[in-house]
Amino acid sequence: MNAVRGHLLVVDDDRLNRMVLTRALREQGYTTETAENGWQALELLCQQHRRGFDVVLLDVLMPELDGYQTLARIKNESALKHIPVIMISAVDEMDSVIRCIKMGATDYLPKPFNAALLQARISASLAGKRLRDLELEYLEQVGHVTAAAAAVEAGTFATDSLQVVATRPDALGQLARVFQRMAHEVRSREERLKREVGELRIEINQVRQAQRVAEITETEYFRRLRGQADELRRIMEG
Amino acid sequence: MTEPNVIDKGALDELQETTGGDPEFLAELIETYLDDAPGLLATMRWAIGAANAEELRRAAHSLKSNSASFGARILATRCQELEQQAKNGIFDGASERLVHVETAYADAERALRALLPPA
Repeated sequence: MNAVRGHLLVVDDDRLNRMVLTRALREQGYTTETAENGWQALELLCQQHRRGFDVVLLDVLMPELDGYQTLARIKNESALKHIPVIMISAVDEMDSVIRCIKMGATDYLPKPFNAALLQARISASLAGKRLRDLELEYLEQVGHVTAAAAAVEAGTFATDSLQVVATRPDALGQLARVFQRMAHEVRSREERLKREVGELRIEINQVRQAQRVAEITETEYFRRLRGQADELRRIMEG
Repeated sequence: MTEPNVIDKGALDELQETTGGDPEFLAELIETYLDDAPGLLATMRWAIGAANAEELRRAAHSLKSNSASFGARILATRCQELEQQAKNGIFDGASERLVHVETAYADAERALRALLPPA
C-alpha cells in the first residue's frame, strides 16, 4: 500500500466514471471524495473544516451546474482558485477542453482513462500546487519577519513570534535566526543601559543630597546654632 | 470469449489494468454498465420524442463514454453520431440512429455478459 499522495475530488454525474476513477486513484495512492454534480462539488470544496483538496477532476457535461459553470465558480472564489482542476473529457471534445483551459483549468484527462496518463497528469498538477503552496507559505513567513521588525521598533517584539520561520533551512530561516539573535542582543543592551541609568540616577541623588547637607551645615545660621548647642551642653554638664 | 469486433479486448484489458487488475472489480463495473445502459437508452428515446436536445445529448454522451471504456467501439460510434446530432439540435433521422444504437447495445450486452462469472 502506497503512502497517501494527495486528496482528490472526483466530480462526475456518471457513477461508472466515478467508480473507475476512484478505484484507479486509490490504486495510485490517492484518497478521493466524489460529487455527482457541480453544486455538490462546490459544497464539498467550501467546507473549511474538511481536509483540503489537492486536485479536482471535473467532468464537462453534467446536469444542473455543468463543468464550465463549476469551473468558473471555482476560479472566481479566492479560497479555491489555486486548486488545480483537471477536466474529464472524451477525446472528441477538444473544443470544450480548450475553452476550459482558457478559463483556468490546469489540464484535461481523456476518456477512456489510461493509468499512466492519469498518474502523469495528476502528479504534474500536484507538483504545481505544492510549489504554489510553498510560495504562499514563504510569503506568509516573510510577512512574519517584517512584522517582527515593526514589533522591535515598537518595543513589543516576542522572540517566539519567529520560532517557526527560524526552523527553515533556507536563507529566510537564516535571516529569522540572525534577527532573533540581534533582537535578543538589542534587548539585553537596552536592559543593561536601563540598569546603568538607574544606578547613575541613584549616585546623582546621593551627591545632590550631600550638596544640600553641605549647603545647610556651612551657613552662618547653622554655625551659630551649633555654637549655642555646645554652650547648652557645657552648662548642663557643668 | 468476446464476439469479434463487438468488444475490443485491448480496451477492456486497459480498463482492468487502470483499476488495479482485479477481475472481481471489472465484473462489478460491467454489471454497473449493464444496469445503467437501459436507463440511458430510455432517456434517449424519450428525449427524441420530446425533442429535448440537451437530454438526448447527455444520455448519448454517457453511453458513448462508458461503452468506449469497455471497448464497445461500434456502440460508442453509434452513440457519438446521435450525440453530435443532438448537439446540432437536429432530430431528423434521430429515431433511426437510435435503432442502430439499440442494436449495437444488444451485441455489446451479449458480449459483456459472456465475460461475467456464472451467477
